[in-house]
Amino acid sequence: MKIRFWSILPVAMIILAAAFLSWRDIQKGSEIPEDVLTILSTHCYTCHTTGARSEDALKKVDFKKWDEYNDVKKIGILNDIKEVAEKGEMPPAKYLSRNPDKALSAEDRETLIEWTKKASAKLME
Amino acid sequence: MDEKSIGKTNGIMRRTYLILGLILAVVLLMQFIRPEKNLGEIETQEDFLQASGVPDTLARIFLNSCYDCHSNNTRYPWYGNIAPASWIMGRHIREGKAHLNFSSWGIMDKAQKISRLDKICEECSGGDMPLKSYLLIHRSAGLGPHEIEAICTWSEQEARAVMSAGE
Repeated sequence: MKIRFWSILPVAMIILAAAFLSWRDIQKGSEIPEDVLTILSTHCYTCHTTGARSEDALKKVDFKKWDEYNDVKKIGILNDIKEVAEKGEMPPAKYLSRNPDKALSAEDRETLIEWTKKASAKLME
Repeated sequence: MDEKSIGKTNGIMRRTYLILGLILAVVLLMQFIRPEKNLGEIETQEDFLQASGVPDTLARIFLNSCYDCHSNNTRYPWYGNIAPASWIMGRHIREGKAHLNFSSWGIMDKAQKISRLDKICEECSGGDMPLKSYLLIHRSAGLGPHEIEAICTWSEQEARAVMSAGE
């Protein structure tokens, strides 16, 4: 039993380290403020980060790749986020019917909209 | 033929007429629901063709391949008045304009324009636009690789220009 435990440990550590590094990757370098990140990770990441199942969702935006997008792309995506937040189109109704806790509150939407305006203005400076 | 089988044939005939009549009635009734026609002006100051610096060669492509669903003016075919074709067209136009309406280009803000320019290239090069169902009927609306390349080169350049332009 002991031997088995020690053989699993390095594997577990590698997995944990990888998870930590990728988590830090998402956090660092992105000029996305903390409060916005919290909203995005709670309400959007399930479908919009590398590894998600829906190709379509990832084609629209993959938040894990945020730093790789050029300025034009970033402004485009920011504008999309603003529009779907304004119209309440995301998360999709179909998804919300199964995951009602994922819905964005009015306050969340306001935070997102304000951020997209500020961030894209900054990119256009 | 004996009397019994004649009666049977008559029964089948009657039923066939009834069904055909019902279908005809439904199709006729469908004609009363008519989506609003998309027949506005496109030769305005706000239209993409005026408000952006799009060169003539590309303008022609946009007019021919995109404007039917992405502007305030649709060139309707003869069956454009007949349901259910009119319903399908109505839906495509409504959804098309919600995503991008070239006729209101001039009133979009910079971010909206950049976002659209980026997506124009993406949709064309991904083969998602023009819609397959549209291309079935409008053969000449299909985009070749050279046209797609020209669209993408221009739209990226225009996006950069919009980005660095003043308000």
